[in-house]
Amino acid sequence: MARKRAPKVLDEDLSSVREARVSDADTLQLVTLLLAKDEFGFHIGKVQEIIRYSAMKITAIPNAPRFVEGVINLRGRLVPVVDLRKRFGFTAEALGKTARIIIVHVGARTIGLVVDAVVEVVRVSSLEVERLPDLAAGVGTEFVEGVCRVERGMVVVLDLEMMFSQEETDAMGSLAG
Amino acid sequence: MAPEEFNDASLVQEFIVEADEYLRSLDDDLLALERIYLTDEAPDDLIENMFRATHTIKGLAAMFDFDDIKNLSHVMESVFQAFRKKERAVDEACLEVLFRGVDALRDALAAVSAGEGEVVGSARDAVRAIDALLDSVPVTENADRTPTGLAGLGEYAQARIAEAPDEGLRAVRLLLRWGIELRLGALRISAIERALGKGEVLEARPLLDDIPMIFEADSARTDVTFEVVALTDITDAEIGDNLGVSVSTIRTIAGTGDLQKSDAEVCEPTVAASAQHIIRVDIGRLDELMDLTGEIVTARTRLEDLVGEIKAANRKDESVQLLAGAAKDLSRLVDGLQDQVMRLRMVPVNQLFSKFHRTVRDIARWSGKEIQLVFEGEETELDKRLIEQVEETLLHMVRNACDHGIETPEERVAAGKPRQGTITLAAGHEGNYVFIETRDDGKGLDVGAIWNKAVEQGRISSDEEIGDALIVDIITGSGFSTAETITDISGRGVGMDIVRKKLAELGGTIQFETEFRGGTTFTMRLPLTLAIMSALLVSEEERAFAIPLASVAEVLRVDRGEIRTIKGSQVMDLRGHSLPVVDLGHTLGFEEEPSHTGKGFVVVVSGVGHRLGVLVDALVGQQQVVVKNLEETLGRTPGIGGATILGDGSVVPIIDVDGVVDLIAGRSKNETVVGGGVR
Repeated sequence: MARKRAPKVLDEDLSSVREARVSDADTLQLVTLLLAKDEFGFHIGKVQEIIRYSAMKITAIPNAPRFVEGVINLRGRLVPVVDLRKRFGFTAEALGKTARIIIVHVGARTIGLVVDAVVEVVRVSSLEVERLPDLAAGVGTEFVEGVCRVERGMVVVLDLEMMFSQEETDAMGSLAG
Repeated sequence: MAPEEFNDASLVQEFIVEADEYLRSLDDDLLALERIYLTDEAPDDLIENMFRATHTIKGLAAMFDFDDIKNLSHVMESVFQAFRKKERAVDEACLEVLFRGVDALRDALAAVSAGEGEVVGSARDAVRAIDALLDSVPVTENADRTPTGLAGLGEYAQARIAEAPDEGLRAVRLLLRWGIELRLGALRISAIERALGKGEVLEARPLLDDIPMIFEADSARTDVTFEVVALTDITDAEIGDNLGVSVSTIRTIAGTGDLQKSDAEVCEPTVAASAQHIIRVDIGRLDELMDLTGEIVTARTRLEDLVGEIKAANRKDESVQLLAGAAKDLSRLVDGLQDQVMRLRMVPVNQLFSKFHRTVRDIARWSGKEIQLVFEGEETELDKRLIEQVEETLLHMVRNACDHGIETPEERVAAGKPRQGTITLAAGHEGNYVFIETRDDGKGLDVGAIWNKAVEQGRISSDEEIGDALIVDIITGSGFSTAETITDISGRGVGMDIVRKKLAELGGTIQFETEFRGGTTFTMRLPLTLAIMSALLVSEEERAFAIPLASVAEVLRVDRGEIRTIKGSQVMDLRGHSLPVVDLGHTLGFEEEPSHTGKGFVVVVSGVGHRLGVLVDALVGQQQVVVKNLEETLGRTPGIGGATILGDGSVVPIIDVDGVVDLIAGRSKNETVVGGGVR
């Protein structure tokens, strides 16, 4: 994936940007993030908050699904944390200072996703769906909703609902059996 | 008028809850009546209670235009009216149709609750059956004592108004604009009744000419004027105050005694004051409150730690002392808060027990047995959620006791027992646990036969020692005796595997005692509340785990060298018996090999029919923990029953002892299955 310049990491919280979404219904807003060296995106509506990885203690839960790192105590709630890099089979290097946990809502559940960095919030007018196979290399195409063009190049937009519904249920089923 | 639009869902829910309460009391009263009617004359207050229950249900149903419920409760009311006026004697035919009526009302309410509308065939059938019964009785004289000004009132209202002056009561007509002057809660008849001192509500109906504009576009404005006819012993001003309405809306009904007179005659003010003030709260809100309280407790601990540090660093600073004092006060308040929040969820177990009167009666009738159900410790308080969860389990046990415990009257007499069998439901506290016991004086379990059957089915080997634990395991094991019906012990397995699963889920245990031909007692032990449990905190491989104290039998200090390996399984000697031992870290899959050296602790746990030593590195302590569900977020995590958050904010997994037992069973069958979970 070619980029014009290295992505700048976005640090502040997203509440101010969320407002904008309501006012402009035609465009999509995405939170983009880094997994290893690649940039991915989610719909901003799924995101509850972003917290520093280093600020949370993750407690491993024995016999949890393989890709679940453990749970964190998010203000008294137990939230499972998934390392997206492991989820996609990327070589997971040690997480650096920019590592974040993105708390997302998937269906009725709240899940924390470990990423190498959060890049920015972008507004795009639409997603392309045709060029999926080559761009979504490494990530199962079934988890990809589409791709979109940003200044730096292309961002693969992940379909969180798909990722945490069927696939996870299957994984858990095989584990239980 | 289109009633559906006016039936705001939450109001309908209120109606259902209230009607359901009246139905339950009606059911209990009918059962009481059935027990005595052959020998004694029914006490007036019993009949009166039932009369009022049906009357109130009728009134409520009329408010919502639930015609079938209204009609059915109306004809039932007529039967009670006939009892009341001694126009009709209580007999079996009456009781049967009345029971049918109660069931039909319950069905209709369930249908309303499920949003299916109230149309249920059984309600109409019941009405026909009761009508037929009423028709069969010649209506005797009915002296017209109707006071003036009562046109349009029902029979019950008229009769009560006639009696009112004798009881120091007077009748009033209240115009209550519900929605504005009366908030939702006051719709409840009982709320209005509380506002009337010693009185009662006779009728309540919407004023039809007031209605038109309300049901149109603006559904938020659901204010309707109700005309309520009631008896009271207090003044208009007091009623006005109690209900928060203007006195001008209250009228004394002519001819029922004037105010001064009744004022002078009646009324200790304590009567009204002692009326309990109860509100209904959605249990979901209590759960939220509980979660919040949990967070406050966690935050408090953090605050205490910080204050401790600051204090250590600034011993001389007076403001630090003040801060410490304030933090201490806060801690005390938080403790109190947590305690109260817990208590909010506690309800007497009687609520659960009394539901089984009917179950036992029906089974007894159907099977030709004579069974009485008695309670002990029914005032014991349990977490409401626990009561809901345990209902089905207890139902299985009560059914089992009726079906398979209690013998037929002939068998009992032949065995030298009273004809009537007794099933006792008992409850009580034991530390942080409650026990619920189902005790019958029936034929008991033939332990030998069960054992033979289990051997026959290949469930156990014939050289296994018979112990209670093993028997419980056999009869609670899934499928035992369900397929092949063999006499005496058949059916004991039916539903018992459900019992076993449920109890494991709730963190409870079951034990039983049986005396062949003498009866059987099943004892369930449950945590006092589902939200909190006592746990033993242990550490293994630098990780903390909580083991439910309910499962812990004892804790021993061991040297790992004492543990032997026999046929691939670890065992140790416990007072002459061999106890299977598992290494917690290895079993849960974060340790490749069980460690074989060094000191450690064995926590002896008992699951359903199992005893097991769990080997851990260290004991951390014992404490009350708030249980958080993990299944909703992580799916099934074998061996882990949930997690808890400690005061310092750290998360600790809670061990599910039965799950661990299953893990080991799985491993011995297939070494490779388990262990994949955590890196």
